[in-house]
Amino acid sequence: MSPINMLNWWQWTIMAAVPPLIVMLYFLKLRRVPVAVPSTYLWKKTIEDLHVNSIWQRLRKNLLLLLQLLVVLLLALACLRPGFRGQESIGGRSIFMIDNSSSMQSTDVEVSRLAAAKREALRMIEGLRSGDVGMVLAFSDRADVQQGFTTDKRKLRAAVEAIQPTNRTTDLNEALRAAAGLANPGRTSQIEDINDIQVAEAVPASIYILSDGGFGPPQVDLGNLSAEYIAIGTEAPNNVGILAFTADRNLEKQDDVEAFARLQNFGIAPMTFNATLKLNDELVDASQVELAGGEAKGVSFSLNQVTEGRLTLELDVVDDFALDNRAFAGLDPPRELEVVLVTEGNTALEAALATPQVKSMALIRRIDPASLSTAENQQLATAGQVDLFIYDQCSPEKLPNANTLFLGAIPPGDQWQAGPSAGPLFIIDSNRSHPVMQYVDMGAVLIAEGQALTLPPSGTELLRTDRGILMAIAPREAYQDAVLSMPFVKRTESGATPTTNWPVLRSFPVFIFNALEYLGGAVSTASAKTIRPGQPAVLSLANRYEKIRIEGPSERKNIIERAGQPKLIYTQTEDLGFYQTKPADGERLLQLFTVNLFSERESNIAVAPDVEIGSVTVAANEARKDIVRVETWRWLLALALVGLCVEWYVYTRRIAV
Amino acid sequence: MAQPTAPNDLLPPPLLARLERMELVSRKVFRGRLKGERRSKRKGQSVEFADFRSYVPGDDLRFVDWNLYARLDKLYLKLFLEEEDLHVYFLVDSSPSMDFGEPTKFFAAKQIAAALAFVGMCRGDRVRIEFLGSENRSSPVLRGRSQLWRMTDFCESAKPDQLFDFTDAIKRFCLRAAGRGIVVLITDLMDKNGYESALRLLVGQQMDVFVLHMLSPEEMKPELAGDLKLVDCEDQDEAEISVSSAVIKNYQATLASFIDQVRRFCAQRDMTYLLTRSDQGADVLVGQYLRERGLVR
Repeated sequence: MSPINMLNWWQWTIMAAVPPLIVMLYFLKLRRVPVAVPSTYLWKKTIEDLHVNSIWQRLRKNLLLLLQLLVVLLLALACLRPGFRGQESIGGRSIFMIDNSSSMQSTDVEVSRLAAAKREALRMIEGLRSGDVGMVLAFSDRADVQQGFTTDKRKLRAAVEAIQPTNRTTDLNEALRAAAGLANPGRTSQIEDINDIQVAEAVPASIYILSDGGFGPPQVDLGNLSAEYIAIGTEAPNNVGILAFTADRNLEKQDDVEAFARLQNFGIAPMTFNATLKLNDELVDASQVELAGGEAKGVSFSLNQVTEGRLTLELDVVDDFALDNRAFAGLDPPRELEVVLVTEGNTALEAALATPQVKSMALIRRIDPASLSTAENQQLATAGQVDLFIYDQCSPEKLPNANTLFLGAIPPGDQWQAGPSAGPLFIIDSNRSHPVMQYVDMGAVLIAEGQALTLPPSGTELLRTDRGILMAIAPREAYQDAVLSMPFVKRTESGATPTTNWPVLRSFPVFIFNALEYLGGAVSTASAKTIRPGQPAVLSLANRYEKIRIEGPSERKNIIERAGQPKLIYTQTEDLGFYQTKPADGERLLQLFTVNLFSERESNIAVAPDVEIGSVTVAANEARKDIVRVETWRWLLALALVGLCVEWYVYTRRIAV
Repeated sequence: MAQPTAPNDLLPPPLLARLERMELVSRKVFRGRLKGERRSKRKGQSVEFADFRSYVPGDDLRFVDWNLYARLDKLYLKLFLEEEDLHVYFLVDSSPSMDFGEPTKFFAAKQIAAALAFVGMCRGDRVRIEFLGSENRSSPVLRGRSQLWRMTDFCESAKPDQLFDFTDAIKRFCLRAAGRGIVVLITDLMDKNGYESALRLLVGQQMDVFVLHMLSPEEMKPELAGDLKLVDCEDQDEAEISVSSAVIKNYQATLASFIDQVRRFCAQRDMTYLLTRSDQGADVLVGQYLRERGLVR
């Protein structure tokens, strides 16, 4: 207690005279109203006990007097302005930014770093003065405003308690932008512009970043925000993590799989541990790894006779950060496409579709153009079971419910138009960035005859000649139509004449393979796609599945309607592990993808001694606390008021009969 | 406080009609002077047989039991109970403290005394009403219904007296009324010297004593509030008091204890104690309250 004298000596004298005055008032003789009664006999007997001789006895048990003295005492104490030393955060506006990224799940401090950060934040909230406003914000690679500016400490505490750990990486940019936007609402308005409506004036605020500092330097201008970095965690933790893990099929032998992992020891002490590889939860290989402090090493495993499956690499080590001790890699099942080739016969095309690569990927069915109108083939076109129709120099009456590739013909309808045949054509541009034209070298291709195409408005040009567009692709509802307006063979009465040398060039089977892969929706990469927690997964799936079921590691099954989208974007990827994509009503595995941490920044859990925010370097520090007085006179005044109420109650109860 | 009373106020005709059918009850059997409607200890000429006794010369031969003489050859006299009248005294406290209440306790006391006296008069009892004061004021002996107007005139003319000693007043009564009988004492017992010695005197007379303790509603449940100076109307004694609910509760406890003390005192001495309220009205008091408690039937 450190009292501050609020009164002068004469004021204190008056204050000190009040209690004796009250006591004296009790000895004053009352002017009583005379009332005649038949006899005072019984009254005298009644008040016999109340008649006392000593003044102290008179004061004894006089509740009113005691209450009045208590009230005066409390008022005098309130005037004394008692207080005690308290620790308090600076400023009237505080923003508590709590890191809930994966590295905050490290257990190098009690329970976890997140728990420690929450404890620290709660302690700081306790130190807020009444009237100070605070805001709670949780951040990983995105920012969540848990509680906007409020003076209600209870809400702030609840917001801090509600923060849950995530497996995400860390990015302070978004959090700082959110904080700056909320703290400085007027920053976007132009002060000079008289037409601009000025919003509330920016108020300085303090940001408290409760984190382990595992984030890149954010490029945000803090404006009038002052940042404090409160480091959570220890500087020399113990951690070994997997930074990368892939499994690739041998290109020559599809059944052979090479798994490769990159491991790093982020601690100082050398570590020796086993890395075990599991295929579909069964141990298939293990390797002892020895890593010196700070050393990184690659580990590889060879697997035979594996076509598909879920590979899990586990490090048998106990360290402070468990999330990066497991990594997942999926071997996608070989995707079998259903492709219908409508041709009268095209040796070059059939040869390109007969390569082992294509055979492993697609099931090719050949139909004669004359039989397109049969009921069976009509059914095939409308059922949506086929991934790709290739029309070679022919065109159906109605486009099928599938992707199409037209060779030397154009789709029916008004969308596509072809000019008159002309030749020779010289290729002047090829859209190599498009997956269909990837790796396709058109330099040596000679074209004797072709037509210039007119595309639908949303079409993409793939190949341009001096006479116009030769090849293009355009979306049609959920499907895509690719058109190459160049026949490979010109059929005349005298026989078939080749119109191009492309089929004999190496680029042709590549083009066909690309077209199958892209238009058929096949995924050819051996290792399943891997993403970081929280990132969206883009899935290319066969068109025929309208509803897709995705089974994540948390046993949760999500059924998603594609709504005609050729690509499916799945965002619920918070948990680490395997995600299996299956038809909603089937068990066939369509696609596998994995969610891995694979972040050196997150795995390197040593606390950063300082962080850079914009151009400012903020050193790790405990929250700056000012030694302030915490006033208690208000409470004393409130107590005096309560005492006064009680006194009034006692008085009225006493005189009431 | 005192209120003028009309003659009819004391004993209204309907009350008189009810009283005519009543009778005073004494728990003791007393000797009277004249033939009345009550049994007496004295043997006499009623129809109720009492005892036999041996004949002595000079006895009235009409009472010899000749049947018994024929059987035993001895002369026996048949004795019969004599029916006699009863002495009934009504003692009304006329101290200034009785002049309180609405109606006053004194008026209520007079009314009860008059009503009970009328009951006795109707039954042929010898009734006397005496107002206790510094000088006791006594009515003549009243007997028979015809004396009603004398009795009411006497009662109505009575006024509350000055402060007097209650024990002395009882003593004066006892000296004058040597005979036995019923005594109905109507008082508020608010004598600062105590009531015990006065009641003891009555007990000593071997009378059947009924103590009607008359209290006003103001005494039983005082409606006072604030800081007061209570002035005793008898001796001008003062009591300063700050009335609170606790004080009122304390007073009521004191009153209850006082009443209980009187009740026990009376019970120990074979006196009948009856607590009455001055605001109850004579018809309710006599017709119902005292009837239930056995003073009249």
